[in-house]
Amino acid sequence: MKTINTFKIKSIVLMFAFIALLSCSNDDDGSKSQEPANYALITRPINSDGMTFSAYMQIMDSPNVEGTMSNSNAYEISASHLGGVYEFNEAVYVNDYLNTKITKWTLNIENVVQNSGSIQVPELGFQGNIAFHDDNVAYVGGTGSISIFNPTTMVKTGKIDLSSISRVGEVTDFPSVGATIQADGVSEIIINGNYMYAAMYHMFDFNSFTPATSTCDILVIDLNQLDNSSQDNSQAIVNVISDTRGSFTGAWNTGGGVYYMNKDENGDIYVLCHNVFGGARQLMNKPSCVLRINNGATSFDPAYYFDLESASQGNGNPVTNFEYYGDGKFMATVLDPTQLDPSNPFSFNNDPVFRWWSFDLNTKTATQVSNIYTNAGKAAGCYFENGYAYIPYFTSDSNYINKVNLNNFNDNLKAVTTTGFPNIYKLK
Amino acid sequence: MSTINPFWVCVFFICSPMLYAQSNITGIVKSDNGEVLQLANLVLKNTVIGAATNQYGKFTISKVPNGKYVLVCSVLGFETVEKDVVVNDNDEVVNFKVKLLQNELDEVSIYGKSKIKKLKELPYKPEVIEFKEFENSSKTVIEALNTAAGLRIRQQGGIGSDIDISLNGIDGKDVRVFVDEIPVYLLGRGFELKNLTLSMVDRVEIYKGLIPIKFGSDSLGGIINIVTKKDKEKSLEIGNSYGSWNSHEVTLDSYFKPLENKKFYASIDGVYRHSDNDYWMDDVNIVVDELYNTKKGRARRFNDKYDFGLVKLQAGFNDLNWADNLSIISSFTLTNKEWQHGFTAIHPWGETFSKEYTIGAALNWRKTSLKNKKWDVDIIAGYNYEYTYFEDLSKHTYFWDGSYTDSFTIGESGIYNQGRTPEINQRVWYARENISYKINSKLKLNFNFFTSKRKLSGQDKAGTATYETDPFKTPQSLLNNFIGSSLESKFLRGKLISNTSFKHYYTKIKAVVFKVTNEFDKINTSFSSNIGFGQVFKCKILPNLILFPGYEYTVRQPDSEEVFGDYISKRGNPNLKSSTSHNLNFNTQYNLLNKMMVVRLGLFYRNTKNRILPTTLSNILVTYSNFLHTSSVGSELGLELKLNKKLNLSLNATYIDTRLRGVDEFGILTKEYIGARIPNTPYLFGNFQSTYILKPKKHNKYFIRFINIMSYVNEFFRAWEINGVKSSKTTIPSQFVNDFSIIFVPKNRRWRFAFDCKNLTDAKVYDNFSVQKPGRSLYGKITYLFIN
Repeated sequence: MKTINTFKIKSIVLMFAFIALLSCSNDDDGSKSQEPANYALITRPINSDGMTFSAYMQIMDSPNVEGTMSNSNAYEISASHLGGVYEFNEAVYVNDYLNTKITKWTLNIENVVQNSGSIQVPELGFQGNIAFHDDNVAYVGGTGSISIFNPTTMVKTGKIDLSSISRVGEVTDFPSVGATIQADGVSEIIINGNYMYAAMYHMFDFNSFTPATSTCDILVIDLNQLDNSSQDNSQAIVNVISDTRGSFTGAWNTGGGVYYMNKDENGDIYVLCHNVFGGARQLMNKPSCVLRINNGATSFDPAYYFDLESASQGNGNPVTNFEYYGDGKFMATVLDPTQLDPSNPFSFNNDPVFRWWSFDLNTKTATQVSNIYTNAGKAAGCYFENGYAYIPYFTSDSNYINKVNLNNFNDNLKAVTTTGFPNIYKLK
Repeated sequence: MSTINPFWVCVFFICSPMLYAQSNITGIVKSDNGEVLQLANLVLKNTVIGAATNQYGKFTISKVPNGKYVLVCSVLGFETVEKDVVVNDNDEVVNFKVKLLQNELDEVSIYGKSKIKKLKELPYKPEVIEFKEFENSSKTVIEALNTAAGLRIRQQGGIGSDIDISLNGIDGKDVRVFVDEIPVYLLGRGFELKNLTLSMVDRVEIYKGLIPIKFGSDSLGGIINIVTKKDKEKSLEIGNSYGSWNSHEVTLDSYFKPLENKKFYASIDGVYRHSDNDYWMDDVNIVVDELYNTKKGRARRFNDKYDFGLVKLQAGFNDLNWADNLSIISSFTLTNKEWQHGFTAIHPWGETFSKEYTIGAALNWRKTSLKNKKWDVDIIAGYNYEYTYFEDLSKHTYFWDGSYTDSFTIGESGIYNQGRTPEINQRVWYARENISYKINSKLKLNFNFFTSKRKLSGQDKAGTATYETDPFKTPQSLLNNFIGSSLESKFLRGKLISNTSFKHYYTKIKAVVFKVTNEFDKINTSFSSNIGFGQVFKCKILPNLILFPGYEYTVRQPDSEEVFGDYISKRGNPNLKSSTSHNLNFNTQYNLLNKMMVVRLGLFYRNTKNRILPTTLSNILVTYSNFLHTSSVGSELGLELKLNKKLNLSLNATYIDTRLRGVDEFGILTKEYIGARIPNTPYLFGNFQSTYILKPKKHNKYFIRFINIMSYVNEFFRAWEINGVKSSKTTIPSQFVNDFSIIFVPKNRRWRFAFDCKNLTDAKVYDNFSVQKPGRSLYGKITYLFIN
């Protein structure tokens, strides 16, 4: 009778055990929790279709990165979208008006990016920027209503019906005699104390964002009257305040998700009226400016007006973006009309024709930060820390972040080159 | 002084009558159903005198001495026919009509085989797909074309939905589609691939990268030429199919030769197609509450009905003294289509629809010189009118379960103030002359002249409710001129064939320029001129091994949509440049096992510049720009195995590596992408087709053909491969689709029945991100032949 070779059996058993251990060890490595990430780099490259963006998220220990950061270790948080990317409470939200949805992304204990829910908002038509109120309440405006949703659970809980304040059909004679308001919507929202301030954008043409009014119009909503689970909330509307000194405000997700309304340390809201969308600067003879709504007020401060063009490159050089970095100071981009392509009316949106400047809301002065021309409509979200600004650039041949010393703007050097329009976010 | 040899005098006098008494025998060979037969052998029995038929089925046996003969006509797959001929000083005309061999009934595609074979072995080596095999089935033209190597047609949904053609790494509008050698962009949208049916089509020729001048058109990546059915005997046939998603198709196919001399013919072809396209979509957003919160679920498509009608009338003369063929062709098409969604299916549209119709007529004259067939002239001139209307006036926002909420803007396909109702009229004139001249048996010159002019005008009532002026009311125009010449040469007793071509393209554009406010600004006029050239070879290395190397510098001019816009959300760009490409092919064909097995291997390289694609202007508006520079390297492998007369197997596989080769002037794609694979494009795919013919042994009253087609497309990334961890990336998943057809054909071919099951395994199939294609669907078709 044939005997069994016990040595062979043992060897085989040992081999299988070894393989099993190896397999386990790999799994174990993958399941180890890691230190929560400090920063995230979001990049938004243009897709090969030339029309849409994708978005990638990767963690960073520090914003002080030099050299090149590719997206090879980044997580895809959108394969195709148009809109902005926002950070709140250690989560990142892709606000995608192309597909009319908002998708939330978080890091798990392994610092792996994971999808944490989404909401569809086609009823908004074209959604504006997201305003986060707290862990359970966020707002996003659009045409006809403001949607209220829970940013933790990603469930819509209510809405604010804006049909009572719609001015669609009203003759404004702007941009030409007989012109009417064809559509209106909320482009961005800021929350301050008991009030929500929503930037109203009245349009003559939605495709080109040509405005139908030449005033700055802000919808004021009383948060005390707001029921976040109601579908009406028209009782919470206080009024629409208007100022003829400035034009429209609001970002509509431009610059990757920047805001044109910011609060200073006193709680005063500053509103940047930029005049750029739809070639409005040429249509109305008003410079880009900053207006103020004092803390707790429901009207503009008639005593405050800051002519941004006169303070920077001069009259006729409109100013966009509003990246506030403290003590009444902010970064903004100034358009140089001499750089525009005369054959392309959308050159302001597609070409590197802006340069970064720093403005002071208190002294009403401005300082040029850089001579480099950038496309300010695609990449504009800055990050500020320890006296430095991390400013994104989209030039004719590359995307990168410059690290800038905010005291003297001297250390204005290319810090990190990226694949796609970059934004740095602090996660904790 | 030399003297006359009496012997030679005698010889002269004896032979001179014979020399004088030499005549020609000419004629045409056709099959019993009227198809002209190429390469039929005609031999005078017990002599070595003979000839073969040309592409028109004609033959000439020259210098036949007077006498009585038996002329034998033999064609592969047909019964041999003998006819007595008496040659007596005069030229004799002897026509043959040969019957398909009974045991070859299953090989219904055999007639014309020689034509197909010859096409496949041209130096340009087009891939030829014969549709006779699928003739009675419910397959669509797109499904049949997707069995070709190197070609992938992606569809945006069900029957009649938009398509994107990808051929050897070049896609979109860079691949042109022709119907009977006329570009579809001149014939109108009714002739687009998505609308055509198998019943109209005889075969499709796919020219990959290398394009003969006879098409007289620009194309960057190649040409798909749909050859419609023609040259038939008297017949009247109708067909009707019905299947899933309430899909109908009715076809009429008729051909008459009412006059005794048989020189006049007329035909009427008609097609009507309808589909509800209400197939199930998985994983779409279903509303769960009044706030329009959603969950993933299953829903039927609900705004995707499609109707298409086509009538084609043709009348003409054959075999006139001054024309081999003179015909007038007119056509009418009508398309009504609902639009379920745009590029992605994430957000459905509920009320948007379009209407289109085209009316066209063309006159064609063909003549081959009688003497040695030195000259061959083919002239066609035509006019087409195209009307398109797109209506997007919905005040609702729809969800996938069909529910909706009121919108505060009008329109679903974009964000408009008053919606869009572009109503566009396009008038197209074109003329093409193909002339070839045979210098000798080894050299042949070809010339092509093609001119087309398109005028566009229209209105947009809803759109212009916003604006003061209607830009469409200002006429716009596009003029294209093409001049091409080529020299065909034969060397080494025909073992090496060369074709050298030169092409010149000219364009004149008159188009509207818009202001930033989306209002009419001015009319802009621009011109462009480009040249192209090519060199292709066919080398017969061994009896069983043929090589087909070739190179062409191709040009693609901007088309009307790119120049004028789509009247909806795409602005025209009258300043576009032409795209160019260096195309290199190296194809081999090897016959094995006494031609039972054919192996084809193709290698190709493309290097493109200034490819035209849409780019964003504002957040919503797009326009076309020259921004993509790519290169593609790839290979195609094809195997055909004919085990016996009953079982045929074919397999093909294609791998394409398309990468970015340069950055654009707009900064859209930066240098980090150079060398990166172009995303959202299939790069590995293949097909396996098996055909089995079942014939009862006891009798020959019918046969049944079973066709199984399995197609595979490997998954590909939606966005750039170099970006992102692989596990996190959005992919268009791999698809494996299994289609099955059973076709019953009786001996007399009067009734034919077919049953088709598409996507047998009910696989979830996607050609584009989020846009699911139909699941398992069943179709039945019946065809009845009234007259033959």
